Amino acid sequence: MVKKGQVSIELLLVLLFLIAFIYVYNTLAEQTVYSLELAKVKEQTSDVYLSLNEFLQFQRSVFADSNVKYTSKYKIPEINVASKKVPCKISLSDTNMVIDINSTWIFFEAFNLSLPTTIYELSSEFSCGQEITCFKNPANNKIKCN
Amino acid sequence: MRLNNKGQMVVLDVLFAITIMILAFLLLFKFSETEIYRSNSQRPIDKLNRVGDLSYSLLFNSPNACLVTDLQNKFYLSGTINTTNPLTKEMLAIPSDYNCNVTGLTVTGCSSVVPTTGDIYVRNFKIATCTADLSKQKYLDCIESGCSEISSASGTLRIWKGN
Repeated sequence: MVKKGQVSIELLLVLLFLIAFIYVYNTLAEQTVYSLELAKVKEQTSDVYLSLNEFLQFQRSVFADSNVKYTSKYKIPEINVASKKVPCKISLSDTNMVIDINSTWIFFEAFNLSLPTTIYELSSEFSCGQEITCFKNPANNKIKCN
Repeated sequence: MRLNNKGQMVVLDVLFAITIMILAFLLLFKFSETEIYRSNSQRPIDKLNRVGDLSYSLLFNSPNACLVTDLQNKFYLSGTINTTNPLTKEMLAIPSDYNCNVTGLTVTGCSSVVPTTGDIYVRNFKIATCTADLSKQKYLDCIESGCSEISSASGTLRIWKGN
């Protein structure tokens, strides 16, 4: 014979199991997606460093000729994950670039580079997606980017 | 959901659903693991290649290139190098955490011993060299019939990540 109370308890156990299962499943899935997106963000962070460094280094070729008057513009790449924009802050000095991510992921990556102060006059801070303009500053003959 | 003759619930559909969910999760997990591994292992190689390509481009477009002058103008010749002004590692935009070795040309700071293991960016090059600025007329003569003021140097650029 099956009692009504027994059915209710078994039903309750099944429901509890289902709730626990969905919770664990959801947590694991979220963590997996988090790790996957973090890897993508780091990949794009590296790309921001490389492309910005390339742009700034190529300005030297123009700098070499003192007769040239020029202005060049460059849009720093954005960091996107699943069509979500990840804000980032770029700190520049003559020997390194630090890219600071402060959103769902909080980390920073430092990269070495060489932008001598005898050649460059750079703003100390940029952000991803920002358009920067470089020109030769007639006052000191340096490449000024802001 | 129904009860069998012992009063136990048979929830086959629920079990099937759970099994499919577990399999789906395992699939996502494996995919993620592969993606993260690929990203982590490929990133240093991509970075090395980008650093190397940039150095190679700057080698051919350096501020130490041969200068052609006339009364009004002066311009640098891309793909040339004035060997009296040696290049430096910094001019080739090689970061301090990377090492380099250049043969065929003098590049200050690029004489590290090439490691036998690990990833190395290697690029052979042939570049025109001069030892002094050229007049425009001399440059045109060099193009038309060759000259002793411009010669060529062959070498190899090697870059790798330092420890």
